[in-house]
Amino acid sequence: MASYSRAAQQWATFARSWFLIDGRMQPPGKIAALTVVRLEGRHKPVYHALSDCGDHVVIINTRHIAFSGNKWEQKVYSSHSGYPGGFKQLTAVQLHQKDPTAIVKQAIYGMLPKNLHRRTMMQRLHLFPEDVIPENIQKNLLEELPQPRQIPKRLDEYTQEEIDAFPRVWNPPQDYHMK
Amino acid sequence: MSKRTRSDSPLGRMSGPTFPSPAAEMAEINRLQYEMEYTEGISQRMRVPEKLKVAPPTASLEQSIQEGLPNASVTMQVPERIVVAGNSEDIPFSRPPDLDLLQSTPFKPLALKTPPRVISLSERPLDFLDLEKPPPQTPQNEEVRSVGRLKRERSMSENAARQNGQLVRNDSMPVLRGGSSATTSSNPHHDNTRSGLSNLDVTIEGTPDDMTVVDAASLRRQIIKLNRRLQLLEEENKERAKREMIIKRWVRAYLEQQRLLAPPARRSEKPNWDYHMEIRAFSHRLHENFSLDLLKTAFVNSCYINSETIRRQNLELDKEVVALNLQDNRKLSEQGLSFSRSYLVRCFEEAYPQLPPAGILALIDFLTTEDVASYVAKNLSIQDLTLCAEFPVPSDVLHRTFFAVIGALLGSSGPQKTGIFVQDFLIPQLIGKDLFEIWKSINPMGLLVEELAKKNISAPEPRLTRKSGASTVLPVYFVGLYCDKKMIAEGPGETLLAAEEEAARVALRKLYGYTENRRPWDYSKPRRDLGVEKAINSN
Repeated sequence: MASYSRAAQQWATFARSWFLIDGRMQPPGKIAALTVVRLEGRHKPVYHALSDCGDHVVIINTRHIAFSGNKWEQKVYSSHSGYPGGFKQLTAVQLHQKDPTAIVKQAIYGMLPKNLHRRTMMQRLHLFPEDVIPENIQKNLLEELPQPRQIPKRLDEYTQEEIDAFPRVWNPPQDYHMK
Repeated sequence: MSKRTRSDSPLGRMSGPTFPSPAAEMAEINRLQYEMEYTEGISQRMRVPEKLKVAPPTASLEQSIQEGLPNASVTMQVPERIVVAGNSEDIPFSRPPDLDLLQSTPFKPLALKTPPRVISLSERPLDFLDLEKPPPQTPQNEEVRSVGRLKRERSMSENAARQNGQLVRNDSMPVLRGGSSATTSSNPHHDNTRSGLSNLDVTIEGTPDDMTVVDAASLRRQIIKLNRRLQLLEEENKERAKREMIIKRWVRAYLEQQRLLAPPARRSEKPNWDYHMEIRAFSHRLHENFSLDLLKTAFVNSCYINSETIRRQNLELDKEVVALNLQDNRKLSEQGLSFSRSYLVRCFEEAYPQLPPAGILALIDFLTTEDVASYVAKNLSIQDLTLCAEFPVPSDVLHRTFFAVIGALLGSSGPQKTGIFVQDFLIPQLIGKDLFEIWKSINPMGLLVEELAKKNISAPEPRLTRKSGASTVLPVYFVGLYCDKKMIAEGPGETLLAAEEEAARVALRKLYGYTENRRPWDYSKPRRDLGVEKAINSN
């Protein structure tokens, strides 16, 4: 780039980065899309499928992901153990209660290319249900990616000053009775 | 072909006093037998030329012989008339009916591997077989005609001719007469014609009565000459056939391997080499006006002179006769090298004013190393023109020769042109090269601090800008150097120290103006007047 020596330039080009994504109030699908791009290495200009140029992604707060619509009750995760009578079907709620990282994991696994590189890329994915991260991973992190979905604020999250500062459409009289 | 018959009786009947001895007769019989078998064999493979002539210089071309002989070598045509001796063509004899039989015999064309279709010895291939003079007697005519055909069969075969020459000399006229008289009898055509044929080889020149020893001797000489020519011809044909053969695919790889394994040879030892012309072409190719004497001296190396004098001494020739008065290229080489260095110094001082003298020296040292000079020399074909004891030419010799060429150019065209030459060929060797690849510096941070101190800027403070994978085996750190809270450079590295050093190097490159994104070298700009410079700096 900017007049680096040859060795230093190459090292910087092919170094593996560590990204952090916060999953709080995010749809798992959108989170998965972001991470899959980075796990494959498609965000780099030197990408090639065989180059093994993927990066690490650390996802925190997977317990606090947010499905839109009624997916918590309607989305079904099926699996078969291989034995007779081993067909299991779980709703998203049940699966999430069983394992809070499973939903994000399934989402990412399904979005990765269906080849032998997939398992390697899954090994570079690090999921944590809360924002507690081991120290060695913490030291590796390079940067945090912006969240895909803008989290709306609840009314009780607004401070009184913000509420007061918000412009009113009309000022009701003192004896107006609000239903 | 018909069966062979004993030709004793016809011979005995005809010739009285000149009857051949039994030994000669036996030889004749053997020869006949051999000829028959041989002719059968070679007639399969031979091409019959259109014209056959006997007497070389004085003969007028016989047009009565049929032209347009078909190319198939098996089908043969018999001419209307074959004239043995004499110049006139008026022979009132009609064509014998037997020849029609011969011609009409169907021959199956065979698949043959023939030499080229046209055998080009000379315009008149076989002089001595030119049949010119008409025979005085009818029987001889008949014989001659059929014999002519058979003669053509054998015309390509040296052995037959030689054999005819050898054996027939003993059998002269009597045999001919004997054979001819028997033609009209019941014997098959071929044998008798064959018996007479060989005689005709020798006795063609004139009528039987006119034969003299002198003619025979001259014909013998002609035969020998012809045999030699035939031999050469056949060898040439064989060579041509070999060259024209398709090289099979399993042979191709082997030939290619042999070609690659062959030891490298000088260009001067390969064909089509004219040293003087090559030197001229060299000067022309570079669009330079070399004085050829200087240029030739530039290519002569001391190792060559030594080896040549030793070689001539070993040949034990007279020293004065064979003395090598060649001059070395040492002086020219030194001149060229010093000029190149001074010119390049001026160039770099002008182009990179902030670069310190140590850096400029490093660049020039790189450009005048053996590797760079020998690379440029090889690509200018100086390796082919150099006179050197060893081959391939070692790089130090090439380096010396290259700068000797520059010295020769200096002597021929002056400093201006030579400067342009040096610029055109040496400065492109810097393309793609980084400054600190060429200029090895141990402590870039110290150097940077010095440089900044000269500009009255405070020492830089290194700060970690970015890092990734610190606890892994492949970490990367980006360290930035800040002077007065402003970043002057940033560099990546495996460890913090390496990153800091890299940042210092980046800062130095920026200071010296030798970054990757600098303006490329301007080759069109005319340099300062170097003649004046040279005059001022005593050289």
